[in-house]
Amino acid sequence: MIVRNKLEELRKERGITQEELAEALEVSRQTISSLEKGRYNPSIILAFRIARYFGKSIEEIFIYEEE
Amino acid sequence: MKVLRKRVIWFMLVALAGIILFLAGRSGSDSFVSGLGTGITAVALAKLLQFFRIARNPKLLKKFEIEQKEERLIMIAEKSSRFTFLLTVVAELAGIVALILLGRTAVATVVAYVAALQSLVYLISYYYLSKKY
Repeated sequence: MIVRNKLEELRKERGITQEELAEALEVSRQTISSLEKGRYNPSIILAFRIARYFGKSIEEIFIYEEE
Repeated sequence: MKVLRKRVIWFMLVALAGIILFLAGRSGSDSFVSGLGTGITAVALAKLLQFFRIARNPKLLKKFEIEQKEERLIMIAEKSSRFTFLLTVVAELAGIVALILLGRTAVATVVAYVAALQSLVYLISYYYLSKKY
């Protein structure tokens, strides 16, 4: 299974840096970077926080794909 | 601040253990033990200095608290612990075989008990956590 996300796209649309997004979500900048590169999948709590921050649903940001 | 306070208390205890080791080494004329005590105390004091610097800087304090609760770092630490545990058990088993081949059966028995105890703790915690979650 693969989970893709639109985090980088949404962040750039808003014109914010990884550092700013990290501060808003109370995570480290490295976590934002790992999420954007798809190296790390967030917990459901962090996924909800990200979705709430961008005013979208989780499914609009994270796309689950079965291999 | 709560997380930082806990870390300060923990490293104060580590520093105290280092001082006790240093004094025990000095009284028993064991340079290895006193050296170990000095090393532990130095590391603990360095960490305490770092924590006091963090406590005085709100920006650093926020960064520190985020890092302590950060789910990705917690996952990394858990994965690292799992790997360390596995490596320790494998090393112990290899050690038991090597000690038996060298005829040091008494030491091999002690290592075997330690390995068995570790496995038992693992099984108990696995059972407890499987009930909890």
